[in-house]
Amino acid sequence: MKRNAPHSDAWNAQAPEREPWQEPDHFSGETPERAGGGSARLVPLVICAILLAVLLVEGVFIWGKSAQMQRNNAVYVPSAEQNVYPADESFSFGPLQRAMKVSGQGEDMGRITGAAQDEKIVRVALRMGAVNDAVWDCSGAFYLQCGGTYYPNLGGYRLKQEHPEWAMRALDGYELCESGMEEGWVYFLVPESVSEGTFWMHWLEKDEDYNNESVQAAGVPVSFAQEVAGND
Amino acid sequence: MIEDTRKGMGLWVLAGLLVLAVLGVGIWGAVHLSALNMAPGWYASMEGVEIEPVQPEGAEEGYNYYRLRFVLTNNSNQDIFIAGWNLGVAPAKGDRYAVDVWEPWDENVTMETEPCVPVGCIGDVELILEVDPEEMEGKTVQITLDPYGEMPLKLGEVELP
Repeated sequence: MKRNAPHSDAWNAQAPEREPWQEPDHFSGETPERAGGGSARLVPLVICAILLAVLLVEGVFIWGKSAQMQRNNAVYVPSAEQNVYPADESFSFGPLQRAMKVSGQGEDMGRITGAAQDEKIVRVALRMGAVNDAVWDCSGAFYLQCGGTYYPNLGGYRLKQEHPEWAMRALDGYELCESGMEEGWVYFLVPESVSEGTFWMHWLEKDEDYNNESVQAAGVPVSFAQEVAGND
Repeated sequence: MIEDTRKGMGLWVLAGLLVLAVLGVGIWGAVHLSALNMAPGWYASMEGVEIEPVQPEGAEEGYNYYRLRFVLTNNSNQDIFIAGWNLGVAPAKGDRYAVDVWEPWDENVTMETEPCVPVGCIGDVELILEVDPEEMEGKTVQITLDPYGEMPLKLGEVELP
């Protein structure tokens, strides 16, 4: 039973169907309902637009910066300037003309714990003379070339775990750039079949961003015989 | 009125999502740019590619093995190591991991040889590839330098025999 229905119908029939707050807005030409709803939507709309713009600027910045960094990172290094010197003779190397002497007779230290079955350690004796200046915009590296394959040297840090006695006199590539006289061994982990190779010293010059930009390399042929006991 | 409120709410939700997007892109961008800052750019090329089937000791059943050889010229400002993390392979089509560089794990080995091609040098590369024939589509394999890095360089392709 709809008790209020007649009353309700009467109300609907006579009412102007407008509450006081629903009076037409004579200035804007919009109903207040529309105007109120519009302002309610305007704030998030503006925020969305600002955020969208921020997102766009952010994206363009990251894309641009990333492209610039990719261009900067790709530094072309010309082929190394390689010179081969005879073993057991002193020669000058690098921009400082540091005196170097490499023994042509390296040593085969055999297998060590932690290395694979078919690998062994060999070492090359190196003497580097003292120079007056140290150079900061360079780095150095040692390699042993066997056939067409290059093996980087094992630094003292890696040798320390298994053979601390070897690590004490192990030379590292960075010592090429230092000024004091150095004498020691350069160690390599190589396949068991290796009996000779070329010992390479690389002098890498750096650009202002500390990227390698050029290489000077000096090579000396070496062969490896079994270790002489007690000769450390 | 209710419809307007719903539209207003929808816009606030959109604004919230945009805030998340701005933050997300910002964080991703910072991580990406930071990684790029450390990533080397590469100048390298390969020549004389040769590939032949092999059966190495320790090979697993269900896989095919190939010896890949080529000569690599490195004019990048970093050494290129001859290992799967620095020189990678992937099929031109199909599952990314249908082809991989075979590097068998031995828990007793703590010190491995790390052959490389130094900066400014030309060196030989030899890799053993492990191929899952069921996941492989076609016979073309791509060879890529720094496959998992920020700026990988595609060196070329080789056809499996």
